Amino acid sequence: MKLWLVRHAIALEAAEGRPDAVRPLSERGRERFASARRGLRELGARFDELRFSPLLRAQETADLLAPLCDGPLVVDGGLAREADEALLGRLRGQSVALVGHEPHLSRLALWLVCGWEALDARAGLRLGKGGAILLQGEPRPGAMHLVHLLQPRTLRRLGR
Amino acid sequence: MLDAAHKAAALGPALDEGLALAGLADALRRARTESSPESIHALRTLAAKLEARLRLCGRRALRDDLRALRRACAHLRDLDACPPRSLAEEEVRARRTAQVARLARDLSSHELEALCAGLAFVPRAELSNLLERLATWQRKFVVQGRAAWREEASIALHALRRRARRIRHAREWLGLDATDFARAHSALGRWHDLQVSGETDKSPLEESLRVAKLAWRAAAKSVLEEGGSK
Repeated sequence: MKLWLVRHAIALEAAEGRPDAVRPLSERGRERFASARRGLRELGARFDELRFSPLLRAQETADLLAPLCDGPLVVDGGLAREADEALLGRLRGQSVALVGHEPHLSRLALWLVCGWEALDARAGLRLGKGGAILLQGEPRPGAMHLVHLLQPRTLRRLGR
Repeated sequence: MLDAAHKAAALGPALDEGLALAGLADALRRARTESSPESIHALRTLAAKLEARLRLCGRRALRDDLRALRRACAHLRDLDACPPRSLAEEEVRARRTAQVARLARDLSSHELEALCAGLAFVPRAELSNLLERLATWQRKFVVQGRAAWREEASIALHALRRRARRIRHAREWLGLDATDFARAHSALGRWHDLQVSGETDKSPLEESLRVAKLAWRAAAKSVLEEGGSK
């Protein structure tokens, strides 16, 4: 399986009357992510399924990513928190995209590449907003390998 | 075309109902506990309404989940609406029991909790955008309706039914008169139910289908003649 982990695009800051869960993407975030999506397309990214966190900024990022998805867009509460084995059990298809948040996505990547021990380690990955990680292999802890760690700037350059 | 600026004040309260989120949680709870034909129908209809509202808002996320929910209810709803006439009552009951068990599994899925949460975060949309998109839908309905009027092909009529349903739900949400579209949707729905019934029950249906076609033509007449300009 190809597993694309995509961090949501840049969103407005939380403010009074605008709690974290309902932060929409900013105009700048939308523009930049549209460019990053072109970069993903250049890399040949296509998804059989796109799962996204229910938080508004992830919903809106999933909307922007939808043209690369040939199958359903599925909301998944497991992407709004630390990933677990139940989430892995729900993945279907040869190429799946997960749109979520940090630090959950980079910890998920470490877990899938390095196994359980990685979760206790101090070392970690850093994924910018609108960036993506591509993993390949069986979606089990320690059974995937890292193909790409794509920061948003890199994706935008690819998309130019 | 509606004047968005003048309509805004009048439509405000309807939009404030948002995506009727509590409604979905309640409908889910009722369908899980009661499994009555009414509760299944209410859940399926609400899922269709929410799907139409998200589409009108130009949002793709969550629509597939609502469609999956609607489809999960579909088999049971078809059985309730058009029980196969060739089957004995006990057999229909047995099929219903099996469908209820299947639906109960679907309704306990992890995605439905996330769907309710996700809908709660969808913000209110700009009224002018909604009205603009609605006008486009109505223009397309007229074009498609005129073609269906000429051809009467099953596929065209089914697509027209889906379009009528979306427009009806959108107009009801915005507090606009939806009578014509509701009538067209219902008539096309009756025709579709007979089609479904014909697929599961091979008894002759020609006369019923003829009557249903006359009904949809009568229902769609006013919309098609006015060119969807209301």
